[in-house]
Formats: sequence, structure tokens, C-alpha cells
Amino acid sequence: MRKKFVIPVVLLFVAAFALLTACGSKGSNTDQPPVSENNNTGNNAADVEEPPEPEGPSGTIYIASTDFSYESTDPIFYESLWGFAMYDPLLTFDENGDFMGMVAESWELSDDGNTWTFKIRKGIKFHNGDPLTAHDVKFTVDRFATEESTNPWSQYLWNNLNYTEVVDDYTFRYHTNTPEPTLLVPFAWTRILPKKYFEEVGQEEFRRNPIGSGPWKFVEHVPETSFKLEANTEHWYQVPEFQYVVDLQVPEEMTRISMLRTGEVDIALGISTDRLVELRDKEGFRTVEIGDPVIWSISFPGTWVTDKPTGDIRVRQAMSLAINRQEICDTFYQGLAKPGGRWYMHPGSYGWDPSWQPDPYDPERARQLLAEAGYPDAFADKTIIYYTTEGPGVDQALLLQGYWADIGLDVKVEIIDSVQWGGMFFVRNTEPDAPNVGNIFSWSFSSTPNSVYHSANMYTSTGVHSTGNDPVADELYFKATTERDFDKARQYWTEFREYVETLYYNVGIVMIDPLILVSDKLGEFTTFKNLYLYDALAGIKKPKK
Amino acid sequence: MMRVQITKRTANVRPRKKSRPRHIHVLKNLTFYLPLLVLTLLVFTAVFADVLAPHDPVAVSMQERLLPPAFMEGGTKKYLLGTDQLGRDILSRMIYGSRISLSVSLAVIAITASVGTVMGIVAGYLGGATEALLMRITDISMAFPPMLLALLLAVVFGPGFWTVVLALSILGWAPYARLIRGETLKLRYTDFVAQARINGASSLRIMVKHIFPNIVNSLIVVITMAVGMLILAEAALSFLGVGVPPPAPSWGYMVNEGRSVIDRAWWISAFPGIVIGLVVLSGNFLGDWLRDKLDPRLRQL
Amino acid sequence: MSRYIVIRILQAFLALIGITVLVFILVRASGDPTHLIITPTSTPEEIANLKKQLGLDKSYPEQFVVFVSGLVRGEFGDSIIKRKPAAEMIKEALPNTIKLGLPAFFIAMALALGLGVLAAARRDSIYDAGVKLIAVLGQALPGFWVAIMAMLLFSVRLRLLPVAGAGTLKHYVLPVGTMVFFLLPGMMRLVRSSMLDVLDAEYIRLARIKGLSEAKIIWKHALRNALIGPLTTAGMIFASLITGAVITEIIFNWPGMGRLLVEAVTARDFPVVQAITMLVAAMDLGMNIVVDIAYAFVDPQIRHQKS
Repeated sequence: MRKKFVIPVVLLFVAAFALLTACGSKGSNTDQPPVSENNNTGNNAADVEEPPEPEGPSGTIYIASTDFSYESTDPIFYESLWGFAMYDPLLTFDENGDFMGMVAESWELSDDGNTWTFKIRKGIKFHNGDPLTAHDVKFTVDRFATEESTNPWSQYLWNNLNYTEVVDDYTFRYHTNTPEPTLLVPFAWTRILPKKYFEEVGQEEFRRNPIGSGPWKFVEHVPETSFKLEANTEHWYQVPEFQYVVDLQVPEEMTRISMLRTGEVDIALGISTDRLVELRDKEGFRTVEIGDPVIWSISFPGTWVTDKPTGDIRVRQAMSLAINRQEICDTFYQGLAKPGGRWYMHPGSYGWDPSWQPDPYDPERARQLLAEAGYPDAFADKTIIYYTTEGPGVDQALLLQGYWADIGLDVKVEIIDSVQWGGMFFVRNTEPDAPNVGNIFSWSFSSTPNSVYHSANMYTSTGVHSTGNDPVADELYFKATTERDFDKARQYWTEFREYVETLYYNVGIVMIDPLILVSDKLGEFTTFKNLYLYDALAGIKKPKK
Repeated sequence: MMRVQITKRTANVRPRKKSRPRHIHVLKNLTFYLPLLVLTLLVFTAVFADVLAPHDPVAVSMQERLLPPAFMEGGTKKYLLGTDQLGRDILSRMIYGSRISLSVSLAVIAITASVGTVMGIVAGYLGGATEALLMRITDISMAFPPMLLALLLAVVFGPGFWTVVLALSILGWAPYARLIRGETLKLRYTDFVAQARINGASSLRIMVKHIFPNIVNSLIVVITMAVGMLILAEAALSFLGVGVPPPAPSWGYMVNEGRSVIDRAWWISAFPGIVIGLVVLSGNFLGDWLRDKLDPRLRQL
Repeated sequence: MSRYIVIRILQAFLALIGITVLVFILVRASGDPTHLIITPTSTPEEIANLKKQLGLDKSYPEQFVVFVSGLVRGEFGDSIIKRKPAAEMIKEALPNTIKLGLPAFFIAMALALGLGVLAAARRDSIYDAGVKLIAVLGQALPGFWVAIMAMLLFSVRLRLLPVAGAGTLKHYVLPVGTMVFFLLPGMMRLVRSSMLDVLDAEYIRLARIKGLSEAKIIWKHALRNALIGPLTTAGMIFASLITGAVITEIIFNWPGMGRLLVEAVTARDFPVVQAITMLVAAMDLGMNIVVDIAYAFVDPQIRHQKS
């Protein structure tokens, strides 16, 4: 009797398993790396005997990304990362941070400062075989420089656009209303689309099946899941050694690490310092530096209207002196960061002066400055708030809070939602009782080769961060950004940034190395390591035997 | 999150054989005393956290980060259960965390149980249009994705203790309302309620004096089980980034904080995870035990 | 009876309208999505332009009219972040959720039936204790912790299963397994308790007296009646899976509805949040109606009372 009773239970188990099998095989249509039975793990790929190298590109680079965010290659939405691999830009930044011609072989600015003439490189072909000409450039720029585009760089083009013209098939002109020599920066973020193809198939179809002239061709996009590219063997500058790139969206860090360990991916992005060091030192994965260092800085909005302690420059200075930047680099970042950095500037940025040093760690001087400013007796009634959002920023905040507590300065850390945070940091509001005024906002973001447009928001009196309000700074900014002589302009830029640093609107903390984790299925990274991973993909070599 | 938990227990009322094997008896008592001990300890720790904790739970010590527990190689007696990414003492954080986690749990229970009970009794006893209206509100609450509402509230009000309490409470009363209404319906036609009505007692009096005392047992059982489940719910919110924000550590937040270093520094998430498990288990066992003891249908037998 | 059904559907419709208004207000109260899109090179003019492009420069009443008139035409609007119809995004995510939820649901149901009946039939035995233990253990630990541990053990340490993604059968084992682990305890308790209720009923005693075999009593007579309760709740459990699988989806990298919802709320992607809420609420209310009507058929007392 008892045995009979157990049989149906067993049957149910079997049925359950059968169901799992059925559903499992049904769903096998997405493009994911299969579990490989052979050992393609990061550690021992070298042990595996490989077949002789075929002609042309071969193999696939799998990437675990944190977030696809906008998921479109169309540059008129926002900055498009995949677009960096698929389209060629007008110009770009070389490893020294200098401008380098890409689609534009050369460019020149007329004497009146209002006419940009670009000589278009001959022999560039789109993925469908059409040649790239000045007509494509005009089409792209015209489309990019309209209000329809919400790309942050577009506004700088349409703000000052008089008209564009095609002089001949390989000459393009851009006419401005007033001289703006710094426009080269937005030009470097302009990527050329194929006019003919776009107009043939229309915008919708173009977004579904985009075509560019870059080193990678579009293959397939599964929303929220994967994006696949294939090597463009016809590329004029660089033909990739790998045949495919598959970018996977993997939001969970532990999952990205696990996939790297099991060989499911070759590149893991968004790995915290602790794990990076551990995987590098103990498990033999490689780190590669891609892009500019991440600069962690803090900003003080509305310093001239607030009655909070941050209104006194000595307090802000004391806060900077209280931070032991070297200790943060050595412990929190385990040696993968360097003290210093300025708002969107690092050694190598346009106008950086090698003599620039961060404030030293000097708690004594900090306490002295506080005393001179009339604190700590008076600050208790007006609390300084350090606003941060959930995530790594919280640990950073607590770290600084500790240093400030050591010199007798109480700072309250408040964790708020990122939209509220954005509303305070990105919308200019200098009313004395505004929630941002008198408080502290931290920002960690990749530095940039040329910070002229980023700096306007931080240091001039119209900037969105509500930090700037200094006529001298405005004047120096204007001087540096309208000077047409390149060397002089750079000199003026250095002077401007040197001056604004003394205002303590923004204080750089550390520069974090921009490292990604890589398996040894990949060899050297050879080109555009100074830009984004998607620019650098084409230059990834096969490992040396 | 909570709704499934409660609805499925409503049916669990059953008579029982009178004689039980002896080992079951011992087991039954053990499932009473152990959980009781755990929950008492929890309350004790929460109340006396500042006395018990050996360190400041939020004090950052960058030179002593990621130290393993004392019993492991590299651990020190100074930090019995090790330290986290910022060199904070896990043990002290857990001790203070008991306070946060228990407060969230109790605050939510206080709100949801009282709102749900009032709605349930009123709907069940008065019936008619009142019942229809109250039950439709209950429907809306139960049809709204709980996780969505928690996320929305968290972003509307910003992360915080009371946001979490609100997020867990705002839909959490509905299952109570359903349960209590069901119980009230059963009582509504009983003789003693009818007798009270004949004696001229007001509706309010009947609900408070006659119906409520008879549903209090079911309520206690459900509440006991809810303590642990709510701590878990807070952990799930922490995972989504909308739990009780630091520096005040909740257990759920601690487990979450350690999730990306689970294979490197397991102690950060394992210890709080274990105590959460213990509290949930204790709540469950104690609830089961109480049901056996308190359920009127059992007593009649 | 038909009047009862009509009333029930009308009530559900009213509830849906209530939810519509509620979610519209809540998402807008939660902040301005452009604050997440702007960058350090944005200027105030660009932000204004962005709002215009996204239709966010209109007043709330105007936006509500746009939203409701869209609903009438069956449109939910375009995602603010991805710039494509919210309905299309749901169409992409929903199959993934179902691929995961359906097998998990049925496996959990099957196991719950087996184990629940076993526990009820052998009440107070060692089986019963074991089942209870599974039930409490499955509910005792934070879900994301269990999922990560399973991943580390089976994928990283033992190299038996892939970490993430979809494709082969092996890809399903971990996510489905974790979901079964979360679902099973609740369902099992439910089956056990309703089975216990039925086993004490008169007709079962009668069957015993008539000398039917225990297996026949349990599997043929008792189970059928004991199933009503669990099955009706199961419907609602399944509806809650649509967004409830978020932890599994995040950790095992499964692009389903839960993940979509979390991303949409975090980014204040109004149209997407609205669309998902409406969908889930409609499903849940629908399930409720079906259950109520089923009950009404089974229980004449309710039928009588309501009409």
C-alpha cells in the first residue's frame, strides 16, 4: 500500500523534468555563447591545441557590459557606444589627446574664424560598398546639428551654425556665425552616416539595420540581451583580427565575474577595484587600461550666496587639506588610483600643466583654517550635506566624512535618488535657500582629452552646476575659447584652469585607473586605447603563441 | 511579497489526532523553546545594541578592511566576525542591524495588521455596500505589483527608513483584510453574535467586544510569521537599491553589500544572512506552534 | 449568475481605472526623467529641447489626455530611454519571462503536489517533518543570496552549467531551479493544508469505511477536492511571477519583465512603467474574476448572496 502511494510522486518528478526539457529546447533561439566543453577558460586557453589560423579575421570577442542604456547606434539620440565601432568620426583624439583626422584628412579654419574647410579622405567605403563623400558628411552634420538631435554635442553645432556646403565630392565646409575655434571638440564626436542608404531605406529601417564605414559591421541586435558585430575586412585604416564581437548586457557584477571565469566572456566591464586586483593577482586575468582616468571630485554650488560654512573659501580649502588622498589610493583603490585630477582634466588633457599638484594632506593646516574661519564653534547650526546616490558613491562619501570628522567638521551624508540628485546638480539654481546651495556634490566620471565645454558648466556664471560666479573666470574662459592661435589658446586655457582652481568651486580627489578585465584569449590592445572600448576593439590582436 | 504567505495559511485549520508519538511531543516543545529563545535574543540585542556592540558600527577604518573572522587565518580578536570593504566591524553592524531590521518589521506589522483588521472586520460584519467598497480597495491593492509600488515610493520619497516601512505597508494590509473578513464572516452568524444583537448591542460594540477577541488568535499566528518574512522583504528591497539606506546597517543591506564579494569575503553577507534565516525559521516554527495552541477549532477537540 | 459576472467585470474595470490614475500620478511625482539623461556638457537650452522632444514640456493634465487617448487606441507611448514603443519592449521581454516562469511554475506545482500530499497523508511522520523543513528553509534566506551561491557552486566551482544567457537546455537549469526553490515552499504548504482539510471530511471517512485502498482514496477522491484551493491561488501566484522573478532575472541575466520594470522605474521611463503596471494589474484582476466566478459555481451560498 505504501509503495503504491509513492509511485505517483515519482511520476510527477519525471513529468516535471520532461516539461523542463521541452521548454528548454523550445527557447533555443537567442545568440549566446554555448557552454563549451573544451577548456576555453581564461586561465588555461593556452593549453588547448588550436587549429591552424585561417585567412582573415577569426574568432569572437565576448564582452560582458553592465548596461546597454540607450541601445541604439543612431548618434542623434545620445552618445552611442556601438556607433563608435561602426561609424568613422570626422576626426578623433590620438593617444596624446591631440586632434587626428579620420574621415577628414585635414581641416582648416579661415582667417575670419567662421569657415571650417574639411578635406574628406578618399577611398573610404560604407559597408554596402558605397563610397563615402562630402555629401555624406553634409547629410550627417545637417542631421546632427538640428534640434531633433538630443545628443549633448549637437547643440554646440546648431547653436552656431550658419550653413553647410559641399564644395566638391571631397571638400566640405561648415560656416559659423561667430568664431568658435573649440568646435573641433563636437566635430570629433560627429560620426558619418551613409546618406544614400539612409534615404533609400528611411530612418526606421536604418535604425534596425544600420550601416557605417567603421571597422565593424552590424550583424544582430537582441534588445536588452546582445549586440553582434562582424569585422569589416575592407576598412581603410584597420581590419580587426577577430571576426566577431558579441556584447552582452549583464547587470550583476558577480555574474560578469563568473562568466569571465568560466570563459563565457573575454572582457568584463564594471568590476570593482577589490575584485579587479584579486582576479588579476590570484587568477591570472589581465587588466587593460582603456580610456581616460575616472576623476572623482567634489563640487560646492552657490558658495557666494549661502550662509552655510562652505560659503567661506577657507572651509572649502580645509576640507581639501583634510583628505588623505594617498591613503585613499593605497587602501580603498589598492594602488589603482593616483591623487589629484581636476574637473574633466588629467595629465595629458588639453592644457594640463605638469606642475599641477593636488592639495597635500595637512590636517593641522586644515584645523587652523577652520579656526580662522570662525569654526568649529559656529557651524553646528548649519549642516553641510554631502549628497550621493546609492552605489559606490556611498562608500566614497563615508570615507570623506571620516576625514572631515577628524578635523572637527561634521558633514552629513545623504543618500538620495539619482533623479533628485540630477535635478540638483544639473539644473542651475542659486537661490540662497535652494537645496543644492551650500552643500556638496561628488562626481566620478571619465576625464576627457579636451574639457572646454565641460568646464563652462562648472566654472562660468551660466553653468548648470550652480558653482561658477566670478567675472574674472568668465573673462578668462572667453579669452581661452576664442583665441584662434592654437598654442596661445592652449596657454590661455592653462591660465584659466589655474585661476579657477584657486576659487575652490570644485576639488579633485583622485584619478582612478580606467581598467577592464581581459582573458588571455585576447592579445595586445593596439589602437585608440585612449578612447572607448568600442573604439579600441578593432585594434585587439590575437595572443602571441 | 507577503500576500501569498498569508492567504495560504487561512485554510490550515484542522483537527488533530489526540494521541501522538512521544518523539513528536519532544520535537513540538523544542520547536517552541528554540524559536522563542531566538526571538527573545533578537529583541534583547535590538534594545541593548549600544551596550552590546564592541565597536562603532559605522566607523571606517581603511587600514583594516576585509579582515576575515577571528577563527580564520588572518583574523583578529578585535573583529570577531571580520570587517567589510570599509573596515567596519561586522559583529557591531549586525548588532545594530538587529535594531533596524526589527524596527522595520514591527512598524510594518503595526500598520498593516491594524489597518487590515479594521477593514476586514468592518467589511465582514457590516456587509453590503461597505463590504463591496472595502473589498474593491483590497482588490486594487492586491492587483498592484508590490515590487513596482515599493520602487516607485522609494524614488518618490527618496530612500529612507520610513519609505521602506511605507513601501511594505501600503499593500501589505490587504491580505490581513481578506483573512480577517473571512474569519468575521464565519463569526457573523454564530449564536453569541446573534445573542448580542438581540440584546441591543451596537455594531461597533459587537465588532470590538465579540468579534475581535475571536479573531485575535489568527492574527497572532500570522503576525508571528510575518516578523521574519518582512526582514526578508527588506533584504529584497535592498537588493534593488531601495532598502534602508546606510550608514545605519540593516541586515538585508549587509547581505546585499557583500553580494559582489561573496566568494572573496563571504563573512560580509553570510553572517547577516544566517541570522535572517534563523529569525525567519523561528517565526515560522513559533507561528505553527501557536496555531496548534490557540486555534479555537483545536481547543474544541 | 450572469449578472454577478457582469458586476464583477465592471468592478474590475473600475479598479483598473483606479490603478491607471494612481500609476500616472506616482510616476510623475517621482521626478523628471531628463535629469538622468543630461550630461556635463548639457546646457539649459538643450535640456528644454530634450523635454520638448520627449513630450515632457506639456502640463500634467495634457500628458494625462495623451496617455488615456493612447490607451483607447491600444498604445502606451514610446519609451523615453530607448525611443521605441513601450508595447514593443514588453513584447520582447514577456516571452523571456514566460519561458522561465512557465516551466518553473509547473515544476514547482508538480513537486508541491507530490510532497504536499505525501506530508498530508503521513501527517506527523518523518516525511511530514522533512517537507516542513524544506518549506521553511526555502523561505528563510534572501533570494538573491541563494541564487548567487547556486551560480558560484554549479557554474564557477563545478563547471556543470553556464553562468548566464539563454540558448541550450543547460541555460535553463539554474534560473528555473532557483525560481522553483522560491515558489515551492508556499505551494507545498498550501497543498498540504488543504489536503489535510479534505482528508478529515465525511466522505473520505466513508470511503475508508467502504474499504477503498489508501492510495485510491488519496489520489482519486481527496486530491481532486483538495486541489481547488491551491489551483485558484496558483493563478495569482503565476500572475505575480510576471514581475516577481526580478531577482532571478538580474542574477542569471535573463532579460524579462521584472528587469524591465526595475530599469524603467529607475530611469523614470513613464510610458514603460505605465504599460507594465496596466498589463500586470489587468492580468491579476482577470485571474481574480475567474477565481471568484469559479467559486460562485462551486459554492451556491456565495452565488445566492451576491445576486
